Amino acid sequence: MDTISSKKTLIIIPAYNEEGSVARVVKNIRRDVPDADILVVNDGSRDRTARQARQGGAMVMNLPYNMGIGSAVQSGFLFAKEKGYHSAVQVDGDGQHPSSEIPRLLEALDNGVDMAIGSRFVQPTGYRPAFTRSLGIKVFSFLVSLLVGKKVYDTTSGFRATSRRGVLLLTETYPHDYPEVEALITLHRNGMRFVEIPVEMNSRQAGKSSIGAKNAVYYMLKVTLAIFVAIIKRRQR
Amino acid sequence: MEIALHLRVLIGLLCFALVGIIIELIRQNRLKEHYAIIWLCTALSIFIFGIWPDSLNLISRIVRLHHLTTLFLVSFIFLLAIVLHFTLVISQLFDRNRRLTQEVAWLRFEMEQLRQPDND
Repeated sequence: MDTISSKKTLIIIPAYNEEGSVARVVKNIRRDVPDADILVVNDGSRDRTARQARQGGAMVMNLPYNMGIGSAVQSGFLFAKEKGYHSAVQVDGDGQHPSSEIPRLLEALDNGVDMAIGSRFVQPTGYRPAFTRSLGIKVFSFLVSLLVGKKVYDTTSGFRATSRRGVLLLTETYPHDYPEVEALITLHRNGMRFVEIPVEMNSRQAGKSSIGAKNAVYYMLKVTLAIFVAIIKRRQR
Repeated sequence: MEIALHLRVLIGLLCFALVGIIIELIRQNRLKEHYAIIWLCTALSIFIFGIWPDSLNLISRIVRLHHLTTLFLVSFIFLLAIVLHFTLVISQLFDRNRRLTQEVAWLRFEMEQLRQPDND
């Protein structure tokens, strides 16, 4: 175990063909969270994502093929686990997530919760999703709230800070695609708590959403099914 | 139920061919013994139904169905079980492959760090 980073935070940036934005994202994080180590998980990009990330000043872990966002983030968790980081923050490589809010997420972890979610909907923000997406978001919010027993507004946000305890759990079990909602249930089922921190998100600087219209139906079905599966799954450990 | 002699011979030959193919595949290291067991059992069942068709009649009488329906039902359940088994195997392989890939990526990262110690 690496003792130098034993008290440190690891910022995990999963990136697939994000050469247009990843360097800026890394630079912004270095400015706003100078103490943290930054790991870009290059998820089999075919462009110059890895080089851009290195030039921005991040460590780069290259996956040999495109594994999907969940597996990429989990690779970051594995890294954090092996290197002994005491917390991990996942930030999208497209510049949507404001790095200036990372310290607030980490503060929330200090209060003993295992995950802090940067949430778009706790307070009214500028974010206006399209109708179908908005519907999906509401359905997941309803289902997760029902299961967890408290109101959860933004279940699909990929802007999250996770405690070491949470990292150890999610290294073992994390969906390979569309992981955000299911991860919340997994945490809850294993007795861990999460909170939502209202943040204002940026519009993406480059690239496009990982969920195209084509995949929207699959996304809805998969995540809804995953929620119910997560309920009946056996607990870890 | 009567099955014409030439049909029985055909079924018998089919079974021998199947067993022969399976043994050859194992010999060439292309089929895991574990799966060979399934296919050998399949060959055996076909063989039994072939030389002793009354066994099918017996089952038909127990489940009170026409013998063709029974044959169809038995084959269908068998195929379903095999497909389920394969899906289980694929899921397990998927999980292991994923973890393996992640470990490789992490080891490669570590290796690159060792090669350039000044590169933080």
